[in-house]
Amino acid sequence: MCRVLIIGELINGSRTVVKQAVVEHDETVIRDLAVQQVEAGADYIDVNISVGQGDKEAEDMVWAIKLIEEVTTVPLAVDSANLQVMEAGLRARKNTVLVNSVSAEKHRMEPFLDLCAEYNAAAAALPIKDSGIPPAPEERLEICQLLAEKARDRNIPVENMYFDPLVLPLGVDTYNSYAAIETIKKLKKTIPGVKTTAGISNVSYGLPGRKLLNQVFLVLCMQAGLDGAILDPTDQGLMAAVKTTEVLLNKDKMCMNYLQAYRKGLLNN
Amino acid sequence: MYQKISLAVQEGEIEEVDQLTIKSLEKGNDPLDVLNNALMSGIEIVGQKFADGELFIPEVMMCAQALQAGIDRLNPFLKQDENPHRAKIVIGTVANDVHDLGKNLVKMMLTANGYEVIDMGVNVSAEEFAGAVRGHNPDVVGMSALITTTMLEMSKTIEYIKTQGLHNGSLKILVGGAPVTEKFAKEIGADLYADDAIEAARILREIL
Ligand code: B12
Repeated sequence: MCRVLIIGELINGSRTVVKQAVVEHDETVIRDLAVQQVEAGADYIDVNISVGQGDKEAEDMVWAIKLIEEVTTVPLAVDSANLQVMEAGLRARKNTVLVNSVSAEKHRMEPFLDLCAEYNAAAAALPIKDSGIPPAPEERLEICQLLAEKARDRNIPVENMYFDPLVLPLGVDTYNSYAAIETIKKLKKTIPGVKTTAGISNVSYGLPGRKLLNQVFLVLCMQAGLDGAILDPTDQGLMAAVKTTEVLLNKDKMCMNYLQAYRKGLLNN
Repeated sequence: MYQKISLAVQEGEIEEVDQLTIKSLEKGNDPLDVLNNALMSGIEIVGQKFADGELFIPEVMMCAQALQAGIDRLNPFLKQDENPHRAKIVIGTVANDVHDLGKNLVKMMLTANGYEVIDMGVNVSAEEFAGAVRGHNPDVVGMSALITTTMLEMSKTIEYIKTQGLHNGSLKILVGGAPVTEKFAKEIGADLYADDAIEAARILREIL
């Protein structure tokens, strides 16, 4: 039984601090965010530098990756919707890498999967097609199956495919969190060996009490078979929920991680 | 009576709004008066409370449904020129973009402010936008884009609407979405820009 893979989400161009750091090429901010997340237990560092600088994005991606690799050998999740930016990132990095993300949209599916194969990268795969995101878990599963098939065609090992059920806000429709959890279950049941990952904090958008919602949602996803989570690893409560759930689900033999977290004072929140 | 209807709207009591609206009509109240002084005055308070962080998205959605129930009751009794809606808006997310949470919030706020909103969904092409403008003859066409690359689709769509001769006198083009700025909106020839859903409702109220 494996632990849940933590993908640290803090280096993201939609956050004001990061946006400013990318625009001004402030190296310290990027390095510090990488170190902080690794120290907090991140297994992957997501790298998203999209701040609307169009043609400079590939350059910015390479810049950020170099800085992060100066301070850590933890694997990277190169995060971009732009093929050129993605390729520049894959070429520049030395650490193990995950492509974030591929989808089943016509203009994205084949080229992004080709890159994964070429650079021997894992992938986060989203059940989105040209018409949007289907609400029903069955339909999301179908799109994932298509993506899995296309990955197989390219000899990408199934355990390198991390399918994201797509987490939409509960406040907009309470069906959304249920759909995500059901999709995880169906994926684990239907595609042998497949991995799953999910962006956790989306679930609580627009509602009060976000921290508790995120924590409980994460626990439910883990119970459904979640293998990886995109989240803020410096959120102590959320990380405590991860460790506690791991030990309860028999993913932490002899309670080693749990007890270590206790000694570091990470369980009192 | 009007106060009761207004409160029922504010509490998102769909059934109650429906029943009270019927009663109010039976008592001989003027439908237009019921609309403006009961239903609309209720929903305005809802919009304000959402802006103040007192109400949350699901609550506003319930209130908008309650409002709609009342409007549906009134509709057959309104004269032709007494459209129960303030104005008609066509809205959608541009081509190659499937983000719709923001667009849906704008839709919710506009509906809650008494506008008729026709939702084209996501990944809406320039041709589809133009077709909807032709078919529905709206007062405003609203576009949402969340990715820097799809902001260019917004520009293309506006261009297309203009070359089709649809951007005449009365049609206003409204744009929004996280990466879209007021400056960008001006550059691509949009008439209106709003930073968020509440702002969108405020701006439309000013011009319509
Ligand atoms: C939720 C989300 C998703 C969800 C979308 C679910 C859905 N049904 O919408 C999912 C997981 C499916 C998704 C998918 C993708 N996403 Co996304 N997503 C986001 C995220 C986290 C939040 C967006 C959101 O919904 N915010 C909440 C809403 C309420 O805010 P809003 O949209 O800004 O809307 C407000 C205002 O802007 C305004 N507004 C919005 N529209 C309109 C319209 C009008 C007319 C007006 C007046 C106002 C207005 O009012 C709204 C309410 O106040 C953002 C990151 C971020 N923090 O912004 C990334 C983000 C937008 N996504 C991004 C990307 C790249 C993608 C993907 C390509 C995946 C990827 N990483 O490879 C795919 C897109 C596929 C496609 N073709 O569209 C990037 C875009 C980067 C760029 N280059 O610009 C972002 C910025 C993340 C990032 N930093 O990389 N995403």
